[in-house]
Amino acid sequence: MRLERGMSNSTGTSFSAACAGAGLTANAGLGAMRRSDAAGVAFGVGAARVGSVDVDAHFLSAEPNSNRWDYLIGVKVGGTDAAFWIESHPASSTSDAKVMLKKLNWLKQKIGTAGWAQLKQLTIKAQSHGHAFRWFTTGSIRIRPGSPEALLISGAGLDQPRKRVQIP
Amino acid sequence: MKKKLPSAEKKSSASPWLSVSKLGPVHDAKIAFGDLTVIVGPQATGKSVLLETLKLVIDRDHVHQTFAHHNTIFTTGSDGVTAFLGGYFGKGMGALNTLDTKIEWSGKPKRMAELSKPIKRKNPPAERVFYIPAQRVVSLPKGVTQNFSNFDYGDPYVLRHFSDTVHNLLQNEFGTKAELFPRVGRLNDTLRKPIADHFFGGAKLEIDAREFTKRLILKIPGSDEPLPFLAWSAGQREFIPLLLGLYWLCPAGATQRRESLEWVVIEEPEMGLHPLAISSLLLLVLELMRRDYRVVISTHSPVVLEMVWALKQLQDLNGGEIDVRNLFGLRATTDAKALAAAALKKQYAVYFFDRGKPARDISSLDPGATAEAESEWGGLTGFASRAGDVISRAVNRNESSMMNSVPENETPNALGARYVE
Repeated sequence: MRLERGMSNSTGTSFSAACAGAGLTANAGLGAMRRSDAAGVAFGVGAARVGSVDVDAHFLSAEPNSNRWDYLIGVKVGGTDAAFWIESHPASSTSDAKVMLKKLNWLKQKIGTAGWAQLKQLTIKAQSHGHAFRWFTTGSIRIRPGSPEALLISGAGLDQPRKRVQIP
Repeated sequence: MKKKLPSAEKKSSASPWLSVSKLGPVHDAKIAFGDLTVIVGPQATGKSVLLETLKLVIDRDHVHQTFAHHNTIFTTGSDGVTAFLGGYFGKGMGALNTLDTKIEWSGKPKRMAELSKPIKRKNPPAERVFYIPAQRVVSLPKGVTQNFSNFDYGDPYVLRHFSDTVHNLLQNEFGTKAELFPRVGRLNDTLRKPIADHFFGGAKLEIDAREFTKRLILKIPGSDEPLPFLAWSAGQREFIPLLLGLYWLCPAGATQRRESLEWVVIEEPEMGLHPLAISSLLLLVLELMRRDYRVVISTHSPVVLEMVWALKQLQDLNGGEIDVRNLFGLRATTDAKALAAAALKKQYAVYFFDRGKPARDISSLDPGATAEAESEWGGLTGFASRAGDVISRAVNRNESSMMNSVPENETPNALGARYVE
């Protein structure tokens, strides 16, 4: 495996170190999330919350007009940290799917930058458990399975909108 | 001006409901009927048995009258119950009913033993439920209609009676007239045009009385020879008995409804049909509701539920008739506007029948519901959900593996994996 500068070949890359490397400030547990959003996140057996980052707030002043992603959640699964990305966004209209794809694209560009190399590895770890990129919504869901928007979402590697996100 | 129904015949504002448990494959079902009620579920979960039971509890006297009219009399006693059930539901179905079977119709208990016996009444009630069965294609062997007696004991009553009704329609109401579709005075242009476009493709449905037998044929433009029944598409063979049933239900002229009929049951209207044809057929369902029939459909088609979902969403979102017309691609004609406006005033219900489990009300059709039975519409969108999930995971795996093994000169992928110089 080729390693990029800044990557660790240790299976123990920590969430906090990865956030620090990316210049992000991690809160303990789900502390970076709005309470109403945190209430929609559940953790599977054996998964422990490590920390969270309000990605949207971090980039608000620098990129006020960008389609910013909401949250990064660090979760320890099977003894190693993994990075799950959660966006809280309405799914009450098919046009919301297009906005989500823009946000996802913005996020993936960020993850591809040099300073985010460790977060990228933790994202790969999350992908090995299922979906790393999750769409959480509290309102009506009007994006139906099999619809063109649902297919676009799947094709981008994003999980379908859910009223409750289970990690992993 | 359309003839209005006498107030005594208008539907009660309270929803009627049917409760059936331990009747053959029906485990436990309590169905509160809307103006349109859709029943979904895998094969052999009791959908047909429930619908036929609905017909029986409402039209019990008419059913016995019909059997008697065709010289079929069932004996009394337990043998008579078994014989009646075999004659009504189909041969071998006598064992449906057990000591644990419970039936309740809008709060009134009904026993199969009572339903199986005729009651002599001076003026027996008229038929109220028109039933279009799943086996309707059998009612037109080689394009020739069949009467009740053409079938045997043990063939389901609903098939025999539907066939008989269609036979009478062709023999009497259409009489010597050859053209069946399109036909002036039957179904307005809003309903006729989609049928013409999606079912007949320019062909005309006619009665051919040559060879001394009235036979249904399709006349293809530019061809002298008509197309016989067995050469029709599967969808046409399934649809045309349904069309004839709808002609029965939507009489010509100003009459709103046929006689005493209040309910219409249609089993699997989508058989053999392309989704465009199904959406055209659903316009006919809306027309039945506009005429104040209470409609019950069993289906395996997501298109039917997509319509219900869309109409319920439009009701929640204060949608207007223009939205319904856009849903069906209808122009702004008077008939189309009336049809669309009526659809938004109706109540819709959906129930899921699962094997060995109680029937479940999934009327909200919420794609985000926690229960899969509801979010996947009783299994109708389950495969689409799984396909989406599988692809999404495969995309993630592909991106991960590309990041972990990036060869030289590889261009960056979406996650920005870069080659190292």
